Amino acid sequence: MADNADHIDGDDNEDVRAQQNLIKIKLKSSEGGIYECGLTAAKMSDLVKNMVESLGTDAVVTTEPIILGNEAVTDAALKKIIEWVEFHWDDPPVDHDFEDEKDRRNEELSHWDKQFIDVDDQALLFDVIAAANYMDIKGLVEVGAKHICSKIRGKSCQEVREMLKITNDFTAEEEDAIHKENAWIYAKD
Amino acid sequence: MAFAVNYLPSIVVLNILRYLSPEDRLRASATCRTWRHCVFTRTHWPHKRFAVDVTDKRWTAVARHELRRNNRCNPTLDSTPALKCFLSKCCRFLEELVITFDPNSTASLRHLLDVIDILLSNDTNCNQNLSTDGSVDDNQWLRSNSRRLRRLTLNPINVTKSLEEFGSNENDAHIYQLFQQLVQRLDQLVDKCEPLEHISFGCLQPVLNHSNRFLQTLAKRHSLSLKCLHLSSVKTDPDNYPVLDLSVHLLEPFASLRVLSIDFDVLNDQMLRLMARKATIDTFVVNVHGIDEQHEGLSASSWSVLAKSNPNLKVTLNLIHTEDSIAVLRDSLLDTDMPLAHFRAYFVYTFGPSDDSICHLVNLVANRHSKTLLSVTLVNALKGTKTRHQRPNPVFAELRENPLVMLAWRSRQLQSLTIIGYEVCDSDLIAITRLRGSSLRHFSFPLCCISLLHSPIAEDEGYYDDYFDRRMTYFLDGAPQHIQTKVIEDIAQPLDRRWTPLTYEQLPNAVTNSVNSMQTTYLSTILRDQTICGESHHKINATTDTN
Repeated sequence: MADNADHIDGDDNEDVRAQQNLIKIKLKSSEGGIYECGLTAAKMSDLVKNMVESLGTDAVVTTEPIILGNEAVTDAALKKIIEWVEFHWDDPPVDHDFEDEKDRRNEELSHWDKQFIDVDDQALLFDVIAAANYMDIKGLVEVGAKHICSKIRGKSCQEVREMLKITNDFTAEEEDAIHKENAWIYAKD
Repeated sequence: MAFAVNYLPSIVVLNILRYLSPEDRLRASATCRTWRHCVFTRTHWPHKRFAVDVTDKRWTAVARHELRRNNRCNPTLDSTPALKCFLSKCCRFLEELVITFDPNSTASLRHLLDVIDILLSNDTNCNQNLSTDGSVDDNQWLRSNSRRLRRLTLNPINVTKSLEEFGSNENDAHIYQLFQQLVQRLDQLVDKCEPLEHISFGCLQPVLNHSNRFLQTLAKRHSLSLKCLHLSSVKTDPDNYPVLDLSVHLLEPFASLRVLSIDFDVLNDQMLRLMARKATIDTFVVNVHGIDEQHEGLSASSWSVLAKSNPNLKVTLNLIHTEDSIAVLRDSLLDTDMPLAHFRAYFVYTFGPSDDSICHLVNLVANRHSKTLLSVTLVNALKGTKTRHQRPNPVFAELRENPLVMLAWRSRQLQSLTIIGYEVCDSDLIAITRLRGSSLRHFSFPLCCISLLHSPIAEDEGYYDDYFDRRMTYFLDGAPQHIQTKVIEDIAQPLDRRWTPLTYEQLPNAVTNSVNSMQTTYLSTILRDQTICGESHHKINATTDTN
């Protein structure tokens, strides 16, 4: 265990990562539920990673739960998130900053991710995305965003509103102006 | 806990929008305020260059082209209000703005002022609204619409009179007033915006007359950031204009200056020495109009010092209607060590094989600057008024050794050659293309200026016997098709690509008829130099000349 502590600052070596994932840490949701998660998996969250690194030793990390105070981190959302990171922790690293925007848009979600994110409960879906954003898990935010995009694609503004239960907070005049502006920006010759 | 999507953090909405196509993105953004706000964010508009065209007649065409290429936008007719609205939303992440306008139209000038007003105002998307009285507070830049602007270019489609020349009629009075406002707003903008890298005043006399004022304002905040400064002008009347008194010391603070364009009128030894001390300048553009008798001239030694201290310096010389003193041109500019890369002479009227002729200038350029020369442009009007009976200037053809052939022979780096309005015989053109081959990437020469006098091809084809006496013309445009084809083929062959001479219709208006539009012949070329910033400057400069 003490040996692992020396390597705790993110080594790309697969064996070390696998070994570290055997260490279980505790995550506490905003509703109070405490859940166990492998250390390497949990560190996919930049928020958790930074906390663990600032705490320093495993001893503290493995006994005290890390509190995730954001209201989006419900018990249900946290369970989903742990399910996702436990599946993805050994993915090859992706450099999010330099990916070409077009490639990102076109890249399909994996079958597992599609199954994972396709939840009937929309409130849960949004909680998961918002919580993933709060915990700074870029990969999961991307999965959520792409899933919502696949629903939005090709739909009219009103259809999008109905599907995502968005309240239209524009006045009639504003809405008219916006539609004109859109028409202007993408008008045909 | 029921979240509605409106309450997703903006950053997540941004993420969602990012994976949508631009069309879906805009449609989705029309659902609610949060989403709409998110769509006008830097990341969704990858090209931060925005070209606004507010000229009366042509603005849609240019705007359409630029917008589609940059932002895939496509405005329909009369979208000025929409354009302004769009600009006011986009300008807070805009890095480069090019404004095309008509300086002789009051409507267009008003649009231009509106565009600058948008840049001057504060971000309406911010919650706190500042008073508009221009009071400065520490955080103001955060909310300023121009906070990311780095490059500003005025791109007029024509020239206009300097303020002194405005008459007293109503239209002139209006335009005079609008220009006064423009100068004031530009000064405000320069005073307010964040450090600029590039600024061009569009060669406009009424604006550039206030160069001293602009330089003072620029020195306050932009002295370290400014890389490109364009102060050169184009005159309405090249023989008669007020000469600006520019204070050299005002250029002193600009420590990063790389590109400078300026009029010969304000250039002096002191300024050359100042530039030599800076050693940052790599592109130097000099516009020469008429030469004032008061001009003290430049010494050859100043150029030598400058060339030594700035080894990468490239000079562009634009001679515009210059005719009064070729001697000054020779002593102050051409017969010096200036590293001349681009030589352009527009409507330089000098006739006969005297010392003062254009031939002498070309010889000087060929002899002194062959090592550095990249492009040469010579444009002159055809003589005569009757369409298709106009004749080119014969100065080059009359000499036994054509200076243009000499130029091509000596200038091994020459990439671009445009000769319009001068007679050259077919064998000399073939010599030019053979000497430079495919490295001459741009070669413009009009069909009606190719002479068949002493042409071996025409002789082989028996042209002289059959046609010459009766047709009374020895220019290629009057020759039969098979001779035209043969001559053009022979000129094109060494270039290693398809090449055709310019047709009569392709020539600039001022070459073929009225003198009124002369400025438009070269204004666009000169302004193109002023819209380009940084490294790409030389590359584009060499390949794009008068079309």
